[in-house]
Amino acid sequence: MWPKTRRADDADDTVEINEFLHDEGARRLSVALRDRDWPTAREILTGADPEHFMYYMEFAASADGVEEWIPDVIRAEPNSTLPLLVRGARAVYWAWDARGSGTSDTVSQEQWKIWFQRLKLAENCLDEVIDRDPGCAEAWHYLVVLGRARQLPMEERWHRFNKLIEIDPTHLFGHEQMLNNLMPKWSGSTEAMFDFARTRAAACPGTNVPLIVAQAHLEHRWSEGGKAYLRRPEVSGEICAAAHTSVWHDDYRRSLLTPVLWNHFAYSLSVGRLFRPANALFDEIGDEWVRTAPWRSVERFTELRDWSREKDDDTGRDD
Amino acid sequence: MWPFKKESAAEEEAPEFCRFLDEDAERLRDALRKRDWETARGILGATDPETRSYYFSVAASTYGIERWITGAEPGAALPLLIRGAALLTSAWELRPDGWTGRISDAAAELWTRWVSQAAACIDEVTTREPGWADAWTWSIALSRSLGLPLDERWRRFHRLIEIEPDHWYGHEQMLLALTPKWGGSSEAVFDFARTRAAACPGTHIPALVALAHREHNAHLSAVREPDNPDRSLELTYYEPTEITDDLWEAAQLSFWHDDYETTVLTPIVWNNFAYAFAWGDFHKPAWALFDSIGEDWITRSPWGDVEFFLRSRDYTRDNLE
Repeated sequence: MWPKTRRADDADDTVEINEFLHDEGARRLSVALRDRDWPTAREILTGADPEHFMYYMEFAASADGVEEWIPDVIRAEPNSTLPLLVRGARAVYWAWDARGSGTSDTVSQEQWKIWFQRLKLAENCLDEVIDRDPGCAEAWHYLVVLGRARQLPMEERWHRFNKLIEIDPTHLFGHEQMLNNLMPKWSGSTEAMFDFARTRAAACPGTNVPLIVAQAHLEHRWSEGGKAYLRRPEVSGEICAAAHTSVWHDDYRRSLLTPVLWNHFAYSLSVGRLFRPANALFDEIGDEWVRTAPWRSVERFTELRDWSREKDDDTGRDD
Repeated sequence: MWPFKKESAAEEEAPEFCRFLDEDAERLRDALRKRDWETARGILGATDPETRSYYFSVAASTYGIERWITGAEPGAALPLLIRGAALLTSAWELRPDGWTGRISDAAAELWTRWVSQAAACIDEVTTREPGWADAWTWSIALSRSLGLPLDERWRRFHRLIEIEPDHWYGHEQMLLALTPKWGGSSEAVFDFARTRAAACPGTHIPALVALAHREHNAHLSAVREPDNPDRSLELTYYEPTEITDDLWEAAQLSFWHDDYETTVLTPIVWNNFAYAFAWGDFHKPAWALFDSIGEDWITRSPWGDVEFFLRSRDYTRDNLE
């Protein structure tokens, strides 16, 4: 009898989450924003290509305290729209800080007041950026977020999204935000959400955009009984096809955000029991590219990965 | 090579599925994971036909292999057939209920692409190497995936058994090609299993009867709950006498037959009969099989998970007189 060995790749202590996608600029930006070091932040933001800029702006928007010092920068650099954009994007997240992420019945009168004040501030800043620089994709991206936050009419939400994709047709975060705008919980509908996801995925083969098909299903599972929904073949198969229109498409080029897609597709495909594609993605992720989203913890990631690999390992599996 | 018994005091520790039926299969999988084609090709070239077909199935089920294998040795038939087989294996995940299940438009397109790519590989190999049994096995598998007429599926099966009359994987594929979910019928499945069992006494082939019952039970469950991805099988299915008799006869023709030889694939036979006997309340023969299986030869199929294996074994033990 040969010795039965446990799998060698059980060495989970090597798995580590890197929240900066191993991007030095993101790490430095995060430090600079914490230290209120605008010259460094400015240098990193102005030197970024559109994908990096989209990614970096999220650090600016979510950095505590930026709202306190960015007005001084605006005054000091009146000719630049960048600090104005940062202020507007930050105000969106700052509004959410006040509101919390619960359902509307968990929000007090006082919180609502602050929420709408900050959203208004955001809108004013972003409007001014657009007036001065109509080709600024990030301003349109945050205006799309405001579309649902401020409960604007659907037409206006679409207008903002269409402006965004005129400038950057495959802007991932903007697509994710428009998907949110169309969800039932933001006064959209299931049909509108899926129609958008499928239409845009088909329009953008070989890009990150088809990820929104998986995200639409992840959202819809809550109205369909949870995880079992993802195990329906018509659901898991569509997510698998989306991965093949995206990261596995012949025209796809790996870039900064690719590991984000690996993580999301690996999660939904392993939960959906499509082990072969899920495992191919787990191999890409390796120890290096694990993200917090969507796993929430390293333990959950390794648990699903090891289970998925084990299920796939034995031959003669036909059930 | 057969450690039939390994008395272990550590009963508390849950056993694991044996992922491979011999050491070289495990080495093969490891080599393929590392894309070490030299080592893998050496193992795949085993001289014993049954062992070779087993190793082929290990190679084909290695996830992601379809992406690189033909580049490892351009133009060679072996990687081409592995690619075709792996593409089909990936495609089947999209249609767990065969032609009867629901599928999204996007997944149906992906299915069509993979199956036609698989067809290009497999058809080329059967043309180039018409005497290769594994190529016909996958040609049979392809025929149901393409939805070809049943007589074409049979034609391919007859080519296979001209070359190797008791090729286990080819028989398994033909059985699947006759199932209701792939355009056949349960009658055709049973007829095939019993006919082939009678034609191949003293081999693994009569275990097809156990597979046929399991497929039929799965079919009944799918008809009952077509939209439930978590549906389970009704274990009382195995209790009626006509079913236990059928399985008894099949076992007589297989591992109980005087001419039966224990080989690398024998654990597949043991596990399938153990499952059917356990739930057919054939406690003594079931227990004898659990004894042979021990802790070392528990295969994932037909149990699915270790908990269910243990439940089945405990049920048998508790009912022994």
